[in-house]
Parts: sequence; C-alpha cells; structure tokens
Amino acid sequence: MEPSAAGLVQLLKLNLTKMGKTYGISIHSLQIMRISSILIFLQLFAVYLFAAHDTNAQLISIAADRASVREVFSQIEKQAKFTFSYQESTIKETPAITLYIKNKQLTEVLFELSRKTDLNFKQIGKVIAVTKIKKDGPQKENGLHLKPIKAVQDYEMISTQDTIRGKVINENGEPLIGASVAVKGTKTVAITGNDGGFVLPNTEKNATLIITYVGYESREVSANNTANVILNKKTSYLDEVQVIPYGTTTRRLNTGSVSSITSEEIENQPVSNPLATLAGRVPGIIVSENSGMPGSGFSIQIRGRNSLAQGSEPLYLIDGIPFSPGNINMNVITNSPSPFSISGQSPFYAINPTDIESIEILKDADALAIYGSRGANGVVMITTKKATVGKTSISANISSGVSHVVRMMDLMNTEQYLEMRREAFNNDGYDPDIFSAPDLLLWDTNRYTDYQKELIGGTARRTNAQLSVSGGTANTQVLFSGGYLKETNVFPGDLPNQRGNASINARHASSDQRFQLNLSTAYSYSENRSPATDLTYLTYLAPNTPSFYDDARNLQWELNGATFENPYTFLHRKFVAQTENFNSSLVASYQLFESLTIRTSMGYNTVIGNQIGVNPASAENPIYSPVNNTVFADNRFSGWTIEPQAEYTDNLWLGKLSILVGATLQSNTHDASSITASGFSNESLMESLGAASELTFPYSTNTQYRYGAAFGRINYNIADKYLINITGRRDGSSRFGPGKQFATFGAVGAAWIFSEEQWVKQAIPVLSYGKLRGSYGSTGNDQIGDYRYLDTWAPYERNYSNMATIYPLWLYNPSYGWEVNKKLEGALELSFFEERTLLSTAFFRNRSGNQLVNYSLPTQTGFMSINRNMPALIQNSGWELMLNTVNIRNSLLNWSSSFNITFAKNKLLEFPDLETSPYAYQYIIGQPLNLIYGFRSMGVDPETGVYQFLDVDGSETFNAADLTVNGNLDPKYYGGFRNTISIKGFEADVFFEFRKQIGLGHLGATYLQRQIPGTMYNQPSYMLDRWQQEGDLTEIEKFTTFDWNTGNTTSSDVLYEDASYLRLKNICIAYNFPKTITQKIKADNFRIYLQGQNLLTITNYSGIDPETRNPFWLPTLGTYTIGAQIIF
Amino acid sequence: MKKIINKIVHQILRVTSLLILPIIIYSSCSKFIQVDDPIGQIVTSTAFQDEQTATSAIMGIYSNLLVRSASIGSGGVTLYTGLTADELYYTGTDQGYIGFYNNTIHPNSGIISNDIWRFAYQYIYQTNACIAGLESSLLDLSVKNQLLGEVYTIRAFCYWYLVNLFGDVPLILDIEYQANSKAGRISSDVIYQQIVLDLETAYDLLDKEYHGYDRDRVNKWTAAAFLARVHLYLGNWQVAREYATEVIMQPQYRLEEDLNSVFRIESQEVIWRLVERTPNLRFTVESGKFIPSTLPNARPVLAIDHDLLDDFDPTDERLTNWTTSRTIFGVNYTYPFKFKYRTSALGQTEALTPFRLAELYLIRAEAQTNLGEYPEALEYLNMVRVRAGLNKLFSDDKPEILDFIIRERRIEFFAEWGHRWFDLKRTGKINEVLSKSKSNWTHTAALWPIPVSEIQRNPNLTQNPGYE
Repeated sequence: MEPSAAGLVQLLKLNLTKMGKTYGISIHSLQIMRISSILIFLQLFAVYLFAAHDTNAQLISIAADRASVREVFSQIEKQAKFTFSYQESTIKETPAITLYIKNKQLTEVLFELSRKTDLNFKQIGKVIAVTKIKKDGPQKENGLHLKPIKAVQDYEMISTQDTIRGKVINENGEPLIGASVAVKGTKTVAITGNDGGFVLPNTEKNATLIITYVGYESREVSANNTANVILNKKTSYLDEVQVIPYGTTTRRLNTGSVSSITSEEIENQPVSNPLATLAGRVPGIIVSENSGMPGSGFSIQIRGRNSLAQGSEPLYLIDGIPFSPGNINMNVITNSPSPFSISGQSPFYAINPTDIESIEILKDADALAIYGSRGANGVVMITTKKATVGKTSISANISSGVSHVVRMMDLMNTEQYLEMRREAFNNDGYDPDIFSAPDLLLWDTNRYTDYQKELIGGTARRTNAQLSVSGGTANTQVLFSGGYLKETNVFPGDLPNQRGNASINARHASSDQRFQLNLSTAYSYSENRSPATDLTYLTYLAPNTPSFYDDARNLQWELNGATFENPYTFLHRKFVAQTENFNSSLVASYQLFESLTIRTSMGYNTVIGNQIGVNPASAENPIYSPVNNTVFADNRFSGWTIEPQAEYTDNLWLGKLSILVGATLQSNTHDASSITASGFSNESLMESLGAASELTFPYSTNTQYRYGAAFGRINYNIADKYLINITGRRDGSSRFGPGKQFATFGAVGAAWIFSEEQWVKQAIPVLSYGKLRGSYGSTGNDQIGDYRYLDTWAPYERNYSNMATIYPLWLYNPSYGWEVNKKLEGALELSFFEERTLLSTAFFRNRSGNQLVNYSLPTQTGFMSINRNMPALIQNSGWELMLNTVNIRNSLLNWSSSFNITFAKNKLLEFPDLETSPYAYQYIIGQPLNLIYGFRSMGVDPETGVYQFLDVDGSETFNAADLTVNGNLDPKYYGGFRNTISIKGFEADVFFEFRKQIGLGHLGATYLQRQIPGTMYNQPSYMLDRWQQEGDLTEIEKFTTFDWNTGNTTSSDVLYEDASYLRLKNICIAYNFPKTITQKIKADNFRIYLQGQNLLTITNYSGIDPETRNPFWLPTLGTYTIGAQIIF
Repeated sequence: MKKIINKIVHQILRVTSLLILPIIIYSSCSKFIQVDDPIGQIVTSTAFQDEQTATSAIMGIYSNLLVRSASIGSGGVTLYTGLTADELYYTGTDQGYIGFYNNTIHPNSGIISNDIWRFAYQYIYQTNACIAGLESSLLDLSVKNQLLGEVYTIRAFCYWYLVNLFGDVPLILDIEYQANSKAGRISSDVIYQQIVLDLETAYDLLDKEYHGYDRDRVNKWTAAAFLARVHLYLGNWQVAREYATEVIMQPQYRLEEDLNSVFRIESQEVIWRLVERTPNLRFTVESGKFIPSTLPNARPVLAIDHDLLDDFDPTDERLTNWTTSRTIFGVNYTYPFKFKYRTSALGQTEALTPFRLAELYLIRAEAQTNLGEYPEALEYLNMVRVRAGLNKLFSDDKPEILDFIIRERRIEFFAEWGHRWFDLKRTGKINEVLSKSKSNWTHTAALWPIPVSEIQRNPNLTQNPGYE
C-alpha cells in the first residue's frame, strides 16, 4: 500500500526526532562516526524539504459537534485541496454528526465519516464524489473503499464487504513485518505492521488473499481464515537470500557470479580461522593453509594469478567494511634465527567463525566492478550473524578435541642413516673427518631418536565454548554472543593459544519500519604463544644427534666438540603475540518513499598486534656469546569507511527498476614498530621494556591509505525473466602519484531466466529453472604498497658516528597507474525435478593488463627493481561447475549432495620485448606464469649415478638454450564433494576436497635447502632406493655430501612431483534429541556432535603434506572434536 | 502515456536530487585521497634542506658500508681477495669460498653478485643521490662542502674497489635509472680519471678536522691519503709522494708503538675508520670470520697460507701480535689476529680501518724509490719495520728496495683491505707469483667475473675473459 504524502511528513517529523535521539547515543559511543551522522542528517534534511513540497502531503483535523455533513466537508476542503461533489438529495437525509479527528490522513477521515453516515466516497482526481449507500444491500452499509490517493481509477462500490483483519507469522510464531497481503483479482494490497497484523477494509468476505514475503513461500488464504496465517520459509536453494555488494538478492535473480558458504557449513568444521572454512567448497577459489600451527596464515587465490608481481589478494570485507589488515602476516618479529620461521600469524584468527552468518565470494565483473580498483582479485565478503525477532533464545555450544599430525614421514633409522652417510663419503672419495662427519665419528652411532615423534608428534588440545543470546520485538532486536577458544600445539611443552571474543548486534526500527538502524560490534582478543619458529625443519636432524639436555637437564649444544642445533632453544625462548580486533559497523537507512531509501553505512575496524620475543642467553648456544635480549613489536591497522547510498526502486514500463548510487570514503592507517631491548639484569625481567638498559634497532613504519569513490548500479528486472545490471565506479586511490589517482571501472551483467518462458515450460517440463547469464567489465588493482610514487628516504635503524642515518627507499617513478583487469563470464544454471537437481556451469576469462610490476633492473642502477607499469597481458580462464542434488527427500531420510570442480588455466598473452627484458628466463608468452622452466631431467645416469638432463641444443654444456617448459604449478583442476544425510535426529555431513597439481617435492625441497641425501640430515627411507653402482636404474641420485654440487638439479624438473590429493576434509556427525526429551529440560533443541577435520589424505606425494608442499613447515593437522549444543 | 512520462520525470528528479550528495562527496575526493607525507620518511626535496637531515643521509652511506655483511665496506675485500691471492686458505666445504681459493669463481657466485657488486652500486646510488640533493640544497656552504667532500670520497672509494676487482665497470654518476640500467662497461682508465677527479674535488671541499666521533668520518687528509694511494697505483710518483707527505706531516697521526693498539678505536694511526657503535654489535666482520668459536673443536674457517707465513721473519713482532694459531686434532691453523675479539661484552674496542698511517709511509717510500730518493724511502720503510721489532734495511739498488717495500706491504697489510691482491696486480707480478703457489692459476683469474645475473638484466654488460 502506498503511503499518503501527508502521512509521510508526519512520520518524517516523528522519525527525525526519534532518530536524533537514537543517533545521539551512537555519536557518543562511537565518535568516529560523527562525520557520517552529520552526512545522514544533511541527506535527510534535503529529503524533508523535498517532501514538504509534495501537494498531497496534508493531514486533516476535524472538530464537529453535531454539525452537518456539509460543514464537515467544508472543514476538509479548507485543509486538503479537494472538492466534494454531491447532489443535494444525497446529503439531505444525513443526520448531523459529531466527529473529532486530529491529524489524520484524508482516507482515514473519510472512513470515519462513512461509518457515521450513510455516505460513500470516491476520489476522482481532485474531486471526491459523494454517494449514498443503498439500503437494500445484503451487507451493513458502512463501506468506504480505501484507495491510495495517488492511484484512482476503476473503483467500484461493493456492498458485500467487510473489514478483514489478520496476522501473518512464520513457523516459529514470529510476526512477519512488511508482508504484503493482496486481495486476489483486485489491486488492493495491505502491508503487515509491527505485530504482523493487517487490516483490509471493505473486502469481500469470501475473497482470496495472496500473502507474500521475501524469503518465504507465498500463500493464498481465504479471507475468512486469517487469524494466524503461517508462511513457511522457502526451502528453495534458488530463493535463498544472496548477499551482494550494497544489498541482497536471491540466487535466482542474481546476474553476477557469487558463491557462498553458510553458517551451517562453517560451524560443522572444527577450525579457528574463517578462511579455513572455504577450502574446496567454493568453485574458483584456492585456499591453502600455510602451516598447521595454530593461528597460521592462509593463502587465497580467486580465479588464478592476475598479476606479475603485485598482490593477487582479494578484498576482504566484514559486513561491508574493509578488513584493514587484509590477509597479511601479523608478525612484525620476523628475524627469527632460522630461515624456516613460521609463515606468520593470520589476522583472520581474530575473527570467530561462529559469529559468521555467511561468506560470499564475488568473482565476476558484474559482482566486482562496484568495488572498482579494489576488485581485480575478487572479494571475500564476511557477513556476521544478525539479531532476529522472537522470544529470547539462548544457545550454548561447547566442544573439545584433539589435533595431531596425521601423516608422518617414514624417515630412516640410525642404521640406514649412517649407511647413507658412509656411502656418501665413499662416493665423494673423501674420508669423513670430525668436521664434516661428527655424526659418524664423534657421536654415539647406536643412538636413535624419532625426532618427528619428539618434536611434532604431540597432541594438541582444543576447547571451544560459545554462548549467544538473542531476541527482540518487531522494532528492536539484539544479539549478544561470546566465545572462548583454547588451542595448544603439537610441539613439546605447553604453548597455548587462546582467543576470547564478544559481539553485539542490535537492530532498531521505527514502528513503521521505515527508519532502521543496525549496529554490529565485535571485539576479540587472542594470545598466541606458539614458538616463533616452526620446529618441523628440525625433525630432519641426524637421528643420532645427541640428547638436547645434558644430565643436569641443561640445554646441551655440543658433544665431543661438535655443535648441533638444539630445537629446544625455541621452547626456552618465548614468543607471545597478542592481537586485539575491534570491528564495528553501523547501517542507518530511511525509506523516504516506498520507492526510495537512503542509507549510510559506516564502519571502523582496528587490529592491534603486540608481540614480544624473549631470547634469554641461557637458551642460546654459548659459542655465540649471546646476551639476554627481547624484541618488542607493535603492529596496528585501523581504518574507517563511510558509504552514503540512495536506492530507488519502482516499477517502470514492463519491469522493476532499481537504482543505487553512493559514495565511498575510506581511510586506512598502518603503524608498526619494534625495538630490541637488552641489558637485563635478570632473565625474569625480560618481558619488561623498562628493565632494559639498552635499546637498539628501533624500527617504525607508518602508512596511510585513502580511497574515495562514487558508484552506481542500475538493475532492471522484467517479470523475473529478463534482468540487466549495470554497475560503475569512479575511484581514486592515494597509492598513485599526481595525475594517476583516478580511474573509472564498470560492468554490464545480464540474465535470462528462460524457464519462465511458456514455450520452454511446455517443451521441457522437468526443467524447473534455467538461467543464462553473462557479464563483462573492468576492475582494477592498486596493491602496490603505499607512497611508492614518492621520492623518499627512511631512517635506518642504526646510528653512525652519533648521528641518525637515513637511506633512499626506492627508485623514483611517480608515473605508474592502475593494473586493469577485464573480466568476461558466461554461465548456465539449470534446475530439474522441482529443484532437486541444480547444475551451474560458468566460463570465465579474465585479462589483466597494464601490469604493475617491480620491474627488475641491473643493480648498477642502485636497486634491484622499480615500480612501473608494463604492457604485459595475463589471462586466467576456466570452467567452474557445481552440481547440487537432493537424492532422497522424505519424512524419514534426507540425503543431498553437492559437487564442485574448477578447471583453470593461466596464460601470459603479451609481454613486449620479453626476450631482452629481465624476465626472459622466467616467463614465456603463451605459458602460465607459475611455469616450471628449467632443465629437463633424463633420470639418473646408470653409469655415473647423477641426474642427466636433456641437452636441447646438443652443445654438451647446459645453459639458457637448454631450458624447457616442464609444466606449471597451477592446479589443473580442484574442487570438493559434500554429502549430507539426515535420518530422524541424526545428521551426517561428509566433505572431500581434491586438487590435481604439481608441487615442490620432498627431494626438491632438500635440494633447495641444501639438505640433499648424503648430507648430515635425515631423509625419508625411500631415498634408500638410490644409485649405488654402475648399471643401477633408479630415480634417486647417488648419495653425496657435496651439498653445493647441485647446480643443474636445482634448475630442473627434478624438484617437482605430482602433489595431487583427495582429502577427507571434514566430517560432522550430529544427533538432535527428540522434542520429548528436550522438553523435559525445557530446551528448544539439544544436539551432540562429533567433528573431524583433515582426517585422511590420499596422495602419491612423497612429502609430508601436499597442501603446504613444504617439508619444513608443520603439515595441516587432523582434528577430532566432540561437542554439545543446547538452545533454550 | 503522458502519466507514465510524468511519473518517470518526477521520479528521476527525486533520484537526481539524491545524487547530489555522492557527487559532492566525490568531487571532494581528489582532496580526500591526498595523504600526508609518510611519518618517518623524508621526501628528497626536503631531505637536504637542513643540516641535520642532510648529514643523516650521508651517515646512511657510512652505516650501509659497514652493515652489509662482507661487502666492499665491511671486510668483503679482505676475505675474498685474501683467498684469491696468496694470503688465506679455506678450511671448510662451502663451494662458494673454495671457488675463490681455487681462482675458479663461478660467474653465478652469490658473493660476487650480491655481497660485492650489488652493494657497491647501492653505495654509489646513495652517493649520487646525496650529491644531487646537496647540489640543489641551500645549506650553509661550509656544511655543504664538507658533506659533498665526504660523498665524493666514498664514491671514489667504491669505484676504486670495483675497478681493481673487475676491471672495466659501468660508470654511474647520477640517479637516472633508465639510462643507468643500460650503461655498459667503461674503460678502467676513465674510471680512474673519475676517481682522481672525485678525490681532488673532495680534497678541495673537505675540512681538515674530523666531524662526529674522531676519525669515523672522512676529512681532507683521508682524501689526500686516498689520492696518494691512487697516484701510486697510477705510477704518478711525484704526486703520490706529495699527498703522502702532506698526510704524514699532520701531527694528529702517528704510528702506534704497540702493534695491538693499531686497530683499536683510540688508535692514533688511523686516518679513516668505519666503526659500528651500536651496542650488541661489538665486533668487526673480519674478526667474526677469522676468530673461531670457543667450541673445543672449532677450527678457523680462514687460515693463513703457509706461503705467507714463511714470508714472516721469525722475529717479526707482527707474527706474534697479529697472528695466532690453534691446533685441532693434530693440525695447526694459524689465523689473522689483528682484531682480537670475535664478540665482546666490553663495548666497542676495535674498528675497520680503510686508511692508516703505515700505508702512507710505504706509499711515500715506494714513490721516493721510484724518484731515486732512496735514503728517505728507506727511512720510512724502516720506521714500519722498527715498529715490528725488525732490523733496518739498507740498499741503493732500486729493484731491491722496491722488493723490500712490496714484501713489507705484504706483511704489514696481510688480510687487510685487499692490499696484497692489488699489489700483485699493479706490479705485474701476479702471474709469476700465483702460478707458483696456486695450482689452478690462469692469467684471466686476475679479474673477477661480472655477475651473470647482471648480464642477464643488462645486455650491454660483457663478461670478463675466462668466465664466458
């Protein structure tokens, strides 16, 4: 029902004051948002003025004490610009009336008037026609046909009418606010109010009402059965709400490529990082865990590598607000003593997966262009849980579990190891001496320790507790949630990681639901005490390495004059990383007219990391004369965003038009600092900066990033059949120099839901849904780092001659600009058998040009590279396929499956003057970027026992002319397979991930790290299958201690092997107790579950983990947890 | 129809009125996205506008010279020319070092490409950037001149090592990366001309006094000492003698009587020292390499070649004070002991010393011998010998005196800044001497290879003979 303009103004006045109050609170509580609240007021003020000019906007007051109808008419005519038209005879018999009305809409006034008289009213333009109700009708004559004042055409007076009242609720008894109740066959529509109630005056008693509500199945009911109309939530996958940038749609009507996973899938996984939950579940995206250490980072790539050198990181948004650290390494302290230090802590560890409602991955230009220069590598949108209407609901969820390394390497025992060593010396023609072979000559050759078991063979424990309380009235809803997580390591010693988090979501709406305010605030604190160094690389110590402790339980560093690495040094050091995360977003919206809503979203996000690395002298080898020192480091990211928007939706011509315009202001800062403190009088004081007498190596950095843009989107939907979506954004980034800051990006997406065509329906009756969609557009990439266009000098951490020092940071080049990524997509979505089978196929082709690179330079220029654009063109293309099926669906058993697979190909299309460029030996036109370009192995020469390589040019020497393409490191295909089965109260969810790829093998890693078979490092026992004598045919070279003598091998394909795998990524088995039991404990639901992660891996890969593909990093752990959830 | 059009127009008006706000915001965007200059970074245009910051930029060069492990400023020349010449041998198995000792340096050597070449040109970039900055600055002339003088001296210092190690090298004198990235190798004569020009400019600009801590920074006499060395190498005996004499006449320099004091930071023999005064880094790169750890079986990584040991007079106090030895499993290793501390908790005690007075004595002696002034030449030679507890030498045979001087230089400057390697090269005796002591010696080994990675990035670079 369209509102009258008069009512609008009243509401507007009311809400301005109301909003002012509500707003006042938020201004005080969140000072950051002061600016944006001013903006909102400005916007509202403009609208207010605009609305006041609307001629229809008028409220009417009547004061009539036994007055004639004519007098009442005259009062109305004075206030509203309407004229009453009637014949004298009509009102002649009408008795005098008493009527007091204050500030009511005209329709209501007339309705009252009609009730008190025998008159009926009909509006025709500016004239209100007065007629007399016929006395001889079958019904009591008190009707006024209420019509929206704007639309008056074909009103016919009905006498078989009554006022129909009713209420619309959902399955849980919660009122559905804003549902539309239409009288079938007429244009009369009512909208439900705050309690779900509606009123339809003068409606035929036997009319049929059509009730519709977004996300619910529409229902037709008889007008005499409206007490509690229950609408069922749509179970249709296609009609589930789909979050898109600056709004929502449904999968059915989406024109872009958006994949998502829901809270159900997230909660079934016993993981602590939200990024982990994506692995294998979303087509087109590769998620890999860098290491199995708690809090470790994840690498993510959406639809391939778009950039030669600069970041291929997607944009991460939490409730629409950019997550300020992105996916970087949170650790400032990276100068750990070993080159194998952990890949860093993930900032996403600060986000509790349980708080997430859904994660959306945006992939094509249609979905991404609205993010302009930030969208080239895709967008990961995290939407947190929101409060819901209903009685107070309390949910508690506790789980506990264990993690361990699932797949250990089969390493040599001491006997095999020593045999390898002796044979290596023999092959080399050297006698082992005490310097090169303490393991053979100085140490106990009978000693054996399984260092895998000792160092990474532990069991990590995991405890997770979550509590949430939610509830609310139709106008105000609140959700509180809190959680606690504790995880330990598989390393020896007790090194707990803990995370606590709390969040509040509150939503308030004015009683007519036009003004809405939604505030989400989340805070988390985590403390990570994992050692700064991943101990996995030390599992390859010689198996007869002496004990790490001497008899007096002191750390031991040498035996018989030979020193060795002692892994326990890292356990006696201390590394504490504390991370605080605060996220807050506020969305305020106001529906000015039915067709126009203005909205402002504001967000603030800060992530603060404090790290301390305590290195007591007692934990270090005394030959290095260590001193007590502690590194203190801070890392702080913060950012705010303001996005005013206006959205206009109306019917236009044949379809529904929706226009969104908006602007973005975003500011991010990053500060980091560190200092090394020493001169502590006592090791127990080392965590106190104040106790240090010397401070050295001060380091600090501060960067600021600003981004501003205006964007728009036009969406036109004809009969839910033809859809077109045009998006555009003009934006500017502070990462570029003068004249290069602004650029325009845009995209067109279109969809045709051909299953809605009659002829298709007739031709293919089993087809319940079919959509053909496509998009084309451009996005940009500004991941170049801040200030790179400036000609700057930075302070060096050391002094010279009592003076501070500065040095030039980089070569000066102010004239680089955006990397432009043009994306093309075509997709076909089909659904058969009433949506029991859903197949979606997408083809994509992304071309990224104007590459921003760190162009390599000869170092005679003073630097190794310079930032510049290069006209190289990179293409990522591929197919994504997703199949969802409901295999069995009946009252007893539900079984559904979901399968996704992605075939992707990366290709360098253009690279002018590649041959003479510094990249000549790195890339080849027509080949993928992650190319394995090197010598081709011809196996081990049976005569010499060493690898021989293909001599391409027959020159008998190996140089650039002999390099060949030996495959590439991009997965050929990857995906996942999920089955969910529920039988009565039991549920089972089983998920497999698979990937077909080549990766750095274990042997390859040993070559690159100079730990080749024969040197003083343990090896997998399959290395025993090596060349020993002339004529041996084998894959493994003869053992050697000459670790430097690997020249051609390290540039060859020997390093790589098949690293494909099929992994049982996740199992969740749950049992929901029946109502009969839950009711006894007064609970709504009680559920116990068993979850497992990374339980089984099927692979031919020789190394410890085909996911990390690095033998020196802790593999992804297998986890089992058991838990219970109860909801009251 | 008219109604519909009216409606459209009406709604468009409504929408456009709301568009105004984003447009206003956006139009202020160009201002919004201007960020402040980064905190803690200085834009070149302001870096040279005040004395403090400009000095910091020059101190950044000194610091960088020191801090890069084993570059031309921090012991790299000492270690690697010690191996390629007949001073040191390597006891370990790292092929990178073995290549230097065997004079079969791989053109892919990371030591050459990274530690030596890359950092040398990084220092040169810093000097060029500072020169550009200083020349356009409005600093007080006296400050500007001193700083410019220091920078020119350091640039000469870098080129001097590059030209002596590699022969012809690219001559980069500004910060125009596009042209510089394509620059080919320039004849070593031209490089030498530039070195002389830079040093003469520096000599004119520099103050006589030291700025900052005593002798940490270059002064006029450093430039003079350097000019003496360069002219000696060029055979300009007269000029070499004059510059050497000028430095020798300065009262602030004197030979330390105690050999163990020569490299200490209070040494009066030092003309220019590079010293790390940051706490916790209290040792020189050289001592860290030469002195073995305290572990019972730790052997020296780099030990003194027997050929050199045999050249020491048994009574030479430098043998007892500047070398020491260790026997590991029956094998005796003698190693350089000019620096005494591998690590030290005693505070900074020792410093790298690119120029010290003893060199000027021997430069003057050599120049005067060539000029026929034998008695004076011998006088200065003998001052160095007497300090080492040796007898005085006398002769009036020029080749014999020259031989005395070269032998003296070998002992006095062993394992010090590449003197031996360069002396062998400049006297033309390298093939004669090293073909005797080194089994793999080839004539082309006198020049180190140009890094292959550099040739790949700049096709105009050529490789030295013997390394293609």
